[in-house]
Amino acid sequence: MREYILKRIAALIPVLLIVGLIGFTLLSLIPGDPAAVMLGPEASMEDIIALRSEMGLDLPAPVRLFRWYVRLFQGDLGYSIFLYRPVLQAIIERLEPTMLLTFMALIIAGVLGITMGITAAIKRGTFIDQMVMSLSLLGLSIPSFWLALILIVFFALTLGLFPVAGYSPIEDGWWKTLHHLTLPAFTLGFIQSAFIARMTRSSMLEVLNQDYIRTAKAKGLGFYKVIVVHALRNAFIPIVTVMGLSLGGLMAGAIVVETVFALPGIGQLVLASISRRDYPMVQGILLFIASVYVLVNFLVDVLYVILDPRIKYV
Amino acid sequence: MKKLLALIIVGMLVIPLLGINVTASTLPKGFFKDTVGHRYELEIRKFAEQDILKGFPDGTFKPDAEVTRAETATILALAKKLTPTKPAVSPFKDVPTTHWAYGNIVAVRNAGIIKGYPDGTFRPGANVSRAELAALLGQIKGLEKEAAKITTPPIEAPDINKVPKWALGWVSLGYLAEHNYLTERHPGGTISAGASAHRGEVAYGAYVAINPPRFGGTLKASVIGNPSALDAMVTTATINLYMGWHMYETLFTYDRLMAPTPMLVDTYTLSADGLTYTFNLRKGVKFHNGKEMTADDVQASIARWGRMTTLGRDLFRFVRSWTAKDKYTAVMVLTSPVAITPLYLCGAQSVIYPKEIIDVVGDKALRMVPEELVGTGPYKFIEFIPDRHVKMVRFEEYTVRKNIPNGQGGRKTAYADTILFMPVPDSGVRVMGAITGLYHMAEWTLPDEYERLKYHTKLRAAVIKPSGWTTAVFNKREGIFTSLKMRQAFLAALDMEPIMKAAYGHPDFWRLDSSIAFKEQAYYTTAGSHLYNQKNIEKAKKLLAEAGYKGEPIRWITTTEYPAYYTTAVVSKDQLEKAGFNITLQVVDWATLVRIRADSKLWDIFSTAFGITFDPVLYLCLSPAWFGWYESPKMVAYLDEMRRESDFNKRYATWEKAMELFYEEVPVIKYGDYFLLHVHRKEVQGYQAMFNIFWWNVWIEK
Repeated sequence: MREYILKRIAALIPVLLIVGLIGFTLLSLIPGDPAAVMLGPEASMEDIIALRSEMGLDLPAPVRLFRWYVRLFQGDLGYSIFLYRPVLQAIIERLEPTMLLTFMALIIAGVLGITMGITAAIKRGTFIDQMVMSLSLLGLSIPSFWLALILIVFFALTLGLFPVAGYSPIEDGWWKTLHHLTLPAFTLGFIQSAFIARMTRSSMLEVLNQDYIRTAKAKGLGFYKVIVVHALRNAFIPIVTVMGLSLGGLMAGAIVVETVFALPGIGQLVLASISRRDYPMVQGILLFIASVYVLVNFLVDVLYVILDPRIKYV
Repeated sequence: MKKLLALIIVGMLVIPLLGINVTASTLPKGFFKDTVGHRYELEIRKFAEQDILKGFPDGTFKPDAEVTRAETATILALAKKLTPTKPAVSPFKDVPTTHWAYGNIVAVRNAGIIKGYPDGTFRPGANVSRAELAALLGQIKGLEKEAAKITTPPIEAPDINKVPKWALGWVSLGYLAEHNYLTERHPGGTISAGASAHRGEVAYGAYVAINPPRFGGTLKASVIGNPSALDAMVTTATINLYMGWHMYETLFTYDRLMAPTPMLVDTYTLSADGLTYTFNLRKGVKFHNGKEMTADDVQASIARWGRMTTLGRDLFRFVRSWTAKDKYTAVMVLTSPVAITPLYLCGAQSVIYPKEIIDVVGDKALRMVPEELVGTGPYKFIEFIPDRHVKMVRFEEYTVRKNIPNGQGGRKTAYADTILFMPVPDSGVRVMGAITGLYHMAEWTLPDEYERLKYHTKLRAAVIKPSGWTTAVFNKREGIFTSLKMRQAFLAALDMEPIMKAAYGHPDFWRLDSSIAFKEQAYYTTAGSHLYNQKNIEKAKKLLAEAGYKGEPIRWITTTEYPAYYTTAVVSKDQLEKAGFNITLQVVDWATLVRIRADSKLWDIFSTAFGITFDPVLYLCLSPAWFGWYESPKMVAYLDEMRRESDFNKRYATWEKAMELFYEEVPVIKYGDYFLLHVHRKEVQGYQAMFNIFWWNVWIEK
């Protein structure tokens, strides 16, 4: 097991290097000039050229890539000229809202998705099943920005239950933070719950037809024991996989949701950085998101062992 | 079953939308047809909501009409909540007991506010002068003692000497920060003590006299994004400059009508040959770091501006020397007269920093830390947390000018303790945040929400007129549009109305106009307008044939980042293709557009827009140095003439010729004017409703 974990960690490095290379290539392919954006619409040519060379943008791409790798191995992700701070610092500053948002959304997606999935599976073929599955279809097809706006109009504007937008850091109190994150987390979570609900339903249906469930029922076990202990536990592996994968979806979704709700997180940062061609920032975030994604997948693999003792890594 | 489900889902989608599409058939209480967007809209509204004011039966309020004594008595009686008294015999010869305002006139008289004339008359139909209004408002505040003490006025105004002696105290108090019940008149930012007061001014004054300005609170302004730099000399992006003018000050600044008025300069002189400006600076002006501002700071800052900014370099072409003569005097010697030097120094980029900071930082951008972002303005910088806020607090040692407030000039009072500029990228969210009270205002709101917002009882919506004009810029250095006939054909084919309508929608947010100086500006002219909006496809075809155009592809660079740019391009393309143009739109993001336009090989047209330009000499689109490279000897000569000339009439005559030339040579296309929508909450008082938005002299009620 330990050997396996070490191997997996070692395999991370080439993955991240490749992510860096792809990100860099894509960024060099799209045209655009950070210097001109920085200096405003009425800037003159001389100023733009001067700033470009100050930012090192007049160097050929391979040279810039090489320099970026060298700095990366020194633990330096670069410096964002737009934000006046090192990239790593900028990412760390944005971590809190994004992590909390993703985490809350994952819980909401999990609870909502698994509940919906189990309900649909038990009541298979009934009106309830259709209702639940239609709801999840809605979740799959609804654009997140639209859902966000509808939730704002209803829960924040009409009912006044939650703030329209914005973020309150933890240092100002947990309760306020949760209050600000409820609507965005629900937006994200609801959409992701659709995937989880569908997976839970099909996975549960498979298990519910098994002999041991019939045996359990025949033994006279209660509803909870049959469904949660015997059925869900065995249906859990594909669900965990989907939940791990959906973390990627959540992070992609966070870009939109953070922008709509004006949350100072990684998502908004990456969007703004792309539109102003803040190359070091985009590169840094790309690397960061890729690392999180790879790490979560790795954690999911490890979780399998706990969930299913039959699985062993050698 | 399926149908029911479908119905439920459709219902879920549609019902939340219904709530926001309610339009009122009658105006909500407090709104009048002619007060929406008026400078005193809020005060009138708040009084009308309390039934203190009523408009005319036709739904108007006539805020700019002259007020009568009877009307004033009524407003004051109701505002002071006096009980109408109707004695059987009238105390005034000329006010019959049947007069509509009888009860209130007597009530005001009994309260000792308006006494009537010694001959026993009240003259209910006579007008009220502004000096009289000041006295009435001072009396309802009980300021008799304070007013009597004032013998030398604590304020300055161009016509302060014309204020009658008996009114000097009342008028002075009315312009002080803690009372603020008087506003300035235009042009010139005068007191106009002898002029008749307007109905709107009485409403404003009475409201503010009873609900005096409040010091304190945090003003939360939602803005479109983060500032890319807060060093004013680094960038021309509006959002940066907007935040900047709360912290920094300039030697001159704009008054309400866009004319220069001294700010850090106290007085200045110009030598007879028009070459030497002597600027006498105000004494005792403090920077945020506690240091006193001297001519050395001014010299270093303006020299830096002259190196770093487009406008600065433009002026410094003609600067022979720029020196600090003594502690409070700076002298600029020119090589050739520049009539609008003070106007150059008004710009939001020509700010004054401490010399010590410039000595260290040089021409690199100031970092976003309080130690480097130091100015003399009423607010000082505290912190910038990206995507969360830019925070400023009141500068307690701010040195106030004695001039009455006038546009961005005169007295500046930081009523709010703190200002937070909070980036909120989505326009709809900014508005909803303002409605629920999360923010006090929403800038750059999409006009499609205007109908809903202008009668919103919690908000005030202001159309900022003028804001800018939309344009397409030709590449005159290289390619197909170096041909004059091609540009003329382009102009001839265009029908501006559908283009502007598609781009800006609601008719209150755009207008067709040929002049690149706005209607609200002194240099507005209709010269050349016969060539604007020609809609003449035949003429365009003929010109294209004469130019020898054979359908070569034309590269038009535009962006959807500013949707109006893209829309104007798309609708124009359609019109132009009818005349035989072959246009390829290259839709890129703004960052790419600004990159491409720098290289004359890569494009033929690009889309952009211009804000307000304060003098004809300053138009970028007429400059050979700006993208598009308009190198016209005639235009250069006209502008040069205007630069040297200081007489308005002569300058105007030259400008008319220049505008004729503009439409003959077509360096760029002027589509039309557009206006921005600004929204703020009702409790925000004192907003100036002018072309630049600023938050000093503004307070939050409660």
